[in-house]
Amino acid sequence: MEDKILIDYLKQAKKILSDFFPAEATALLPVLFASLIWALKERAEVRKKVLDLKVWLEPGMIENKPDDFILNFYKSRPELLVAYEEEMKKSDLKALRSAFKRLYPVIGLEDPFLQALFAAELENHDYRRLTAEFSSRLEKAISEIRAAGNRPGFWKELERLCGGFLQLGWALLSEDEVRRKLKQLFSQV
Amino acid sequence: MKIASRKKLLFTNFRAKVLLSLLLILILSACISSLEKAKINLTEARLKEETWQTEQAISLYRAAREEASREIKKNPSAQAYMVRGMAEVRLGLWSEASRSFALAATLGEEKAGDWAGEVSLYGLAVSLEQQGLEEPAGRLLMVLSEKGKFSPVVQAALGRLVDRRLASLEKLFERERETILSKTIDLVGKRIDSDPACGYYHYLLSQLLGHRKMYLESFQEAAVARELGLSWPQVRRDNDNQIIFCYQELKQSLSGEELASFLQTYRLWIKKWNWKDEETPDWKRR
Repeated sequence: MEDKILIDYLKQAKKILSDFFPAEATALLPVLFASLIWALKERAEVRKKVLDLKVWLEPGMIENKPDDFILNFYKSRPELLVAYEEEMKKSDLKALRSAFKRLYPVIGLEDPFLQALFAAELENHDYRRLTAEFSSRLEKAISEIRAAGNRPGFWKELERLCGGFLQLGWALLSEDEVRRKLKQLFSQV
Repeated sequence: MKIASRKKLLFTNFRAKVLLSLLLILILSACISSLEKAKINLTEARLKEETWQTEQAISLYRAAREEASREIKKNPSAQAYMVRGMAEVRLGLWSEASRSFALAATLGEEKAGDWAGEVSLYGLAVSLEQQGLEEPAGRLLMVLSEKGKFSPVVQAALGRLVDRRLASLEKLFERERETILSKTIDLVGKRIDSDPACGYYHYLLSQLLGHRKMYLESFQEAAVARELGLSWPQVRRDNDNQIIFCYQELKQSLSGEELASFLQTYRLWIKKWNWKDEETPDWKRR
């Protein structure tokens, strides 16, 4: 598929959705990215999925992982090992656990919405900024989505955009390829 | 002329009758099909859940609830309330489900009374917990986990109880931690004995065994959970991460024949699951 078709499609989608979000909204592109991935992967009801974000992102079991699991999470990811070198050296489990609660849904469970919301931090390996801004940015994004969702026509437009996206022939590509392509092209939109 | 106009009249009458019949069929099928549609949606939702298509399952549960409500408006029956209650339970609408089951019981459905009671107790436990009344909430969750008969409620109660107990471990000394872990493992084990096909119980047991550093057993339970199916994607992914964690720990702690045997088993499983390699499940990106 030609990049131009997709870039045009994404530009159009961004333009349509921007009517529902305030200027400088943080949630617009993450919502679009995650909705397209969800639509492609599960052909799900996008509205329900977006509205369920908060439930999805806070499974209780994350809070109670054993120390060894948390240490292993950092050790098996070289970029995290570099970022949290000091805490790892000191075995500062309090600090590591606190950061883990933010990092695990994004990096461990690979949630597409969070990965888009923190795309810049992931790209720059700025994990400290990700953990520091996790709650505030997520709350802001969720409230933006709620406000957009209350505006007439938002869900219809989003579902229509996802439907249009599926018709571009993505089923032939793997999820990995689609994610990579979308990420690459989102920066140009 | 007369014959022509009679033919025309006959044809018009015939067409009107056909249209009327079609309309009647449509109206009748619409009247009788709401409950059937709700049942079909409910069954399809369960099948989707079993094959891990959670979002589609949720949509179908919502559709089942809507169809059952439509049926109830037209023709309230115990069966319609039961179907609606089942859909509401799966959607986590506890108080609505309790009401639906209570109404089903009023209309003569025997087991609905017990289900309504359990659903309502679980809803009460959640609300007590939210108000900071931890002790009574814990007691209710314990009763439901031990004696509950309605599987969706038992799963929710047991999951919540395990979370609470694991959260309490941090503040305890080693011996107390061990006691709490043992008791919780026994509790989950008993549930597995009574319902061995529930993937979620095996997931919980795998997590608990991980806390005890029993990685081979934890891996085995996580593998069983994966095979039996886990409804929620984040739980499924967390379970896969547990499998990888156990693999990494066991690769370091085992040696000789034990290690070779474990690696052989592990590779067979990941081949079956279509993983890219030992540490990359199908959903994970490199």
